[in-house]
Amino acid sequence: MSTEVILQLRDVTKRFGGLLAVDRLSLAVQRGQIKAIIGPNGAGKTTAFNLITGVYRMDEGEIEVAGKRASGLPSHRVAALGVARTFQNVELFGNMTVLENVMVGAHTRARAGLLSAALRLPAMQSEEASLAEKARTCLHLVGLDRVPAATEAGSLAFGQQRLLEMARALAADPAVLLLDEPAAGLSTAETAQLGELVQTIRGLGVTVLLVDHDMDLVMEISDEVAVLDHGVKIAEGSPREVQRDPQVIAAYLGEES
Amino acid sequence: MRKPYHAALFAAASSLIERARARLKPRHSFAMAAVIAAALPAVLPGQYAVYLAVVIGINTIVALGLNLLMGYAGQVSLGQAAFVGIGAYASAVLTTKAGLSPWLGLGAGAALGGLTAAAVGIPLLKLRGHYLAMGTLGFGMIMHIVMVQWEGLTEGTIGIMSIPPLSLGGFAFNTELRMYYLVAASVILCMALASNIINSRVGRAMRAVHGSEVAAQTSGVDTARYKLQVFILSGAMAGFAGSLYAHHATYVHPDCFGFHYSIQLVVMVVLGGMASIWGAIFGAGAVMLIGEQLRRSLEFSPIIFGLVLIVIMIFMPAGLWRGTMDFLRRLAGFGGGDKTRTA
Repeated sequence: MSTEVILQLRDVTKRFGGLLAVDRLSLAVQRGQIKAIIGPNGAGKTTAFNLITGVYRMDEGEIEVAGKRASGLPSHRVAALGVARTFQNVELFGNMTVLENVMVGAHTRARAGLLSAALRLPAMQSEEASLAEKARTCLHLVGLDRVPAATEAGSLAFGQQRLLEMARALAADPAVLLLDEPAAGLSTAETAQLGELVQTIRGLGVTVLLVDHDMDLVMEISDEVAVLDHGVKIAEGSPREVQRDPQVIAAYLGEES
Repeated sequence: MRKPYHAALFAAASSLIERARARLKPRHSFAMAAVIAAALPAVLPGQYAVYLAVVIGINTIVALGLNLLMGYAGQVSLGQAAFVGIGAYASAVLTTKAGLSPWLGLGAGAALGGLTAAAVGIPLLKLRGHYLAMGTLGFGMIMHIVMVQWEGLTEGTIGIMSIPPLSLGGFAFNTELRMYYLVAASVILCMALASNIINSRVGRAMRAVHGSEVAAQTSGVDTARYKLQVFILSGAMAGFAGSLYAHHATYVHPDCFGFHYSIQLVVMVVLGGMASIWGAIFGAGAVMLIGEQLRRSLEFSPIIFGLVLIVIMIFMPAGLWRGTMDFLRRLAGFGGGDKTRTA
């Protein structure tokens, strides 16, 4: 693990009307890390993801990806910087096939435009072939290679849909992969497989930032954990340190009461 | 179609064609379409039927572009007739007033259609939903007014007459049959272009926006840019079709390209099935043929037309093409057909 910071948030703030959803959040993710953001419901974790990926506009603060400014950029430009994500509620392209879904993930890694597509120029055709090849590689990586590539994405089982989303995100050759509650709705066995997959992905050089409620998964695979509560970072450190932090315990207990 | 067995023949033939097509690669199914198109005049009953085929063909080209815009890029255009009119008048003016070749007219029609779409699309596509619809409606009305008022160029409500036909050397496309072959070739070319786009990076990007706009954007798809590009393409195709219209009808008049025609075009796309290339032919055919049948009972035609539309949309919400194919498949017990095939 190097000390290069691949994703940097500085004093990021987001308000929804009177509600302060994210309050001066600063976070650094090192290249090659698996970092987790945890916190009670409503802590601002998914909002943070939406701010990083340009889905929400931040009110204050800065975000940098590998040193390049990402704050204020629209989502597709943030993606081009090397940020890929999955969604809490799986956001697949249900109207398209498994293979096509993953190929869209690689959109920023290809160039063919409307004209070369309409005329099926040779450059476009070879690009299509390598996109399909890349998609198959990603499907193999997540363990979906047995599924026929022409299957409609909407007809997959839930666990498979989650994996498909990850394959799509990986097709972009991202520098950072944001996983939003990847274990939600998965069985214990599937969650264990997910943990292994995330570590495999890290082994390929992708930095992972994940949000999840499954403490076993988070503590098992994360190098570092940050804890949010009501939009504020209240703790940050190794999984052991964070688990013992009295403020963290109070925040979670507070949620139960 | 006056005789019921014509409809049954048509349905049976369509079913066979669709079964064959589902197994073919796109380029083979276009080759099949070319063969059918070449053979069609032999089975058409008379000159007037060939004329109708030409008109359906020209409308199919417009419907294809509009289909890409509405079915894939998810935009609406209630003013598409304006682009057809731009192409038609470009051809008419350049050939009758500047004495240029009709082929240049075709090129100018497509180019002007595309350029106008670019100029109008950049501000209009910033609007959403109903506001975008209103914007395209307004644009259509403005173009109609321009056609009427700019008499120096368009001759206003007199229209432009004696538009020369297209010709190659001494061979003039001045009969229905000759125009039929030219238009049929253009339709197949446009279908191939549309199919190529749909099964490409750009096509996938647009279909992805339909599936989940946020996931498409975070996957790197610049939705605004593609919407504009498709808008421009649909304008160019409409302009091209407009030029063909001018050299076929040899007369253009502002009322040919008004609101009524814009609505007919939208109906063709919705009826034929949005996001369906072959559906564009069906939709254009259905609207034109129903219109022909209803010409006999002028007072009732809007009512009957509306009723037919309602019935079709209730029983075949995916459009006439998909609906008929599904119905025939179920009827005959033929299974299969890849639901995800987009064409």
